[in-house]
Amino acid sequence: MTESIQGSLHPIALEARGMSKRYGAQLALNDVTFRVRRGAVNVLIGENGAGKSTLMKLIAGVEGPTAGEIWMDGKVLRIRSPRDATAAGIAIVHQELAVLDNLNVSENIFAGRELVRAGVLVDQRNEEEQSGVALQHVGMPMNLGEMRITSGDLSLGCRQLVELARSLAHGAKILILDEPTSALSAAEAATLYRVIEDLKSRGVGIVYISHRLHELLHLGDYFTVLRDGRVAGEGVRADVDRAWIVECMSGRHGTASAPVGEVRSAAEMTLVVEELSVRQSGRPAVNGVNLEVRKGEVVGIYGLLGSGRTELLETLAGLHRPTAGRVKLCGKVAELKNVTAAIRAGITLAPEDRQRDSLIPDLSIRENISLAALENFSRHGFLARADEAGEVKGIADQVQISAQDLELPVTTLSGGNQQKVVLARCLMRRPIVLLLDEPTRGVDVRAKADIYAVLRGLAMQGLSVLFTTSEMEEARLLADRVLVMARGRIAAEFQAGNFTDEALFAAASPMVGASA
Amino acid sequence: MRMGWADTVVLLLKLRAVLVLIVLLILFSALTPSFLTANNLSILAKHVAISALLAVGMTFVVLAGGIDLSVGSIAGLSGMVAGGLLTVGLFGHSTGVVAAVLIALLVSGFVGLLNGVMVTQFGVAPFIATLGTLYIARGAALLLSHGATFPNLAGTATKSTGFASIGQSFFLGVPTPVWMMAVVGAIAAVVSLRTPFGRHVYAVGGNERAARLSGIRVEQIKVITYVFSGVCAGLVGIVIASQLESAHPATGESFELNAIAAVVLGGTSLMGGRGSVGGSLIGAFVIGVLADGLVMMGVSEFWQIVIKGVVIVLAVTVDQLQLRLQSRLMPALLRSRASLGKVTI
Repeated sequence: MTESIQGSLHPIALEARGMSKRYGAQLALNDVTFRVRRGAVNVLIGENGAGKSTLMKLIAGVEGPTAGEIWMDGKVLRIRSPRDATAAGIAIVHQELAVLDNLNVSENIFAGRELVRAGVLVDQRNEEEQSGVALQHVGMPMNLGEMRITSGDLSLGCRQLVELARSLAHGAKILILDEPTSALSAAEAATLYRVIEDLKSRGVGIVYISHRLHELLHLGDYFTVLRDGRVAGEGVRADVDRAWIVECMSGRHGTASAPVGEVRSAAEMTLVVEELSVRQSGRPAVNGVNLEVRKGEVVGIYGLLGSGRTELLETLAGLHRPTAGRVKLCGKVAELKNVTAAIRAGITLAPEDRQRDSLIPDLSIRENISLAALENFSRHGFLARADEAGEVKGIADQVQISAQDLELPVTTLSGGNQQKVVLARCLMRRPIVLLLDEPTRGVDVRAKADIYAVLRGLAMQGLSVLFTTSEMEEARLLADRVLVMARGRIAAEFQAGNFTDEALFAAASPMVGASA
Repeated sequence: MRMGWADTVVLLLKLRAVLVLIVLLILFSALTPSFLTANNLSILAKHVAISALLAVGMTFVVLAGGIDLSVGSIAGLSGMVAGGLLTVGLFGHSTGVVAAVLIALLVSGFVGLLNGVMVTQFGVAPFIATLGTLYIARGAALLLSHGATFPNLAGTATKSTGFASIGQSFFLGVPTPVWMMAVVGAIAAVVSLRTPFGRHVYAVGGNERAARLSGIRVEQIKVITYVFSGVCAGLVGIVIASQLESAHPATGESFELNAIAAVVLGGTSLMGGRGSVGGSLIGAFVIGVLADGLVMMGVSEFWQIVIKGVVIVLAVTVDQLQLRLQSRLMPALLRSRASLGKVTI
């Protein structure tokens, strides 16, 4: 396989040789050599913690390597800061967005590289003109008024495109995209693919990191798989298939899968939502939604960004007050005044963004898990540590958290295990209905399968699970029943194993043919 | 330019500090006839200039996500350095006024540098770092004269040093300190809104990590804000010493709180990334007018303190309300922006 790579058409734009990075005792990257080819999509794959992001941080100057050199145009590059990387023509679109929420769109595009006139003043006019061109390129044309909108008011997807426009505006030779589509809707992702094709034809070397295999196989020209900080496999598109990737990544055969349970049409209804409507920022976000979840049933809500799926779950969790409709829990109308009321009633939400909304990085795994249920362990106002430790241990085993010690900081865990900590915390409250917003966002293939199995197991014990997803595969693998949400409404309903990707996608796309 | 109603509402909310100022001016003019006289306004502006200069420096620090508690002490130290150089002198030789002022500003800037280095290089929280220099600078000021005052800085009747003219002279009928406030304020406003440095300050305060990833030299930006704040404080110390024609080591005590109050009243968020120099200037005026007006109305000094506190708390509450209202109005804002843009392009 190496032979065909050597003889390939695309010249090497950048070569990172023998890169190693040590964090304390842990070797995150171990003698990795990675080539970025001009005019091609260079895919980097690996499970969480395999070293992808570390390698990209080294190339983009966010961190310095323990060992290794970066070569470009026959010279060793000295990259000590993001500034140096930018000067060398290396741009990165970070997974955790590096958009400045308090600046407007055009200010963001030129942040750190402002255009100047008269020696000292920012040339706002020129910046806005060039921003306009860059935004056009990424398929998000904006007029002057829109460019002056504060970035924090834009959706996650829009901000991602703003960051991409930033790299384009500065004529990057190497563009690193770290999970660029995790926050994008299908339409936005399609635009991104077009932008990538365009950049390729202009000779830009693109590094593409993603967990979505179908996307990688669709876009990629060169593939590098990392495992445990080393290169586990390399190949060109013609030699690569799904099985090869998964095998290289995990070191074993097979794909993510979970046993789909039989439909429990006889079981009682635990959650019934009737004509629920919610307004957000003055707009109807959820519009007359009806749905039901049975005891032990796993129901998935598939929808694009902005379809109202997150708002629906958040309303059920007591975060927003509905403007109309009602929610019944085990046959009784539930007053979901606030989050505490919802939890008391038996509804618990595991939010989408675990870094921002769930985990407290300074606390240990145990403390993170027991946080929401501390009253269970209070004895005369003091915490009964033994009770707490015992119960936490039980639940941690139930969701299969693989940690050496529950007393370690939660940040020592991989993304998949952190997600299980969030799950465990929800279970501490002994919910009747578990709500999950994107339960496996940013989680690798193997951990996904684990999480599916855990959720299936919980459903088997009688828990009702309602989750949202933007991955069709997840809807297929996890749900007994899939509801499709679009523009705040339930647009379609499918039984497990009874739908195609095309049908799902068509139902989720708002107003087919409305925009060119 | 055509504006939607939502824009108008948001604009009015943003201009509320100005509206409050106008209301106060009208109120006090009506209640006390001697309030709206040239003489009183001149005195008022001179008082305001002191806290406004501090507030302008403080604005940059706060915008970048920090805080500077040392400004009052720096003002005291700066006055004492200038006073010492003019009376005792350096190595037995009394320096000229220009040299004394420059050295005092240099020392002030150095304390600011110390703040910046502690915050950026040693990771000391800004509150703690500047609390430390608050004590250090104050102690240094006391040490310079063993707690005594440097008197007679204006010189003798026969031989004037010219030091008194810094804070006491007029230009075009306006006191020099007011000119200083205007010039420093105008430059600072332009720098904050129209230069790369200014934008970097907002970026650092808004999201430090994102700023760093954008290639902004976060440490450098922060250090500059502290140095600038220190120099502004130094200038205030010199103005006060010049007005009093003597330097007291206790000058500037609790000035930092006035400066922070002005910054907050002006709509700058203590979390960083949001606010403006112009707002801080208006904030300083609101506090100044309020104090002056209440004195002239004969309100008890104790009540004045309570009222000042109430105004500050109210201002920040309204600030939060504005943010919430703004996000509620966002769809309407977006609509009007979109139509606005189409007209412009």
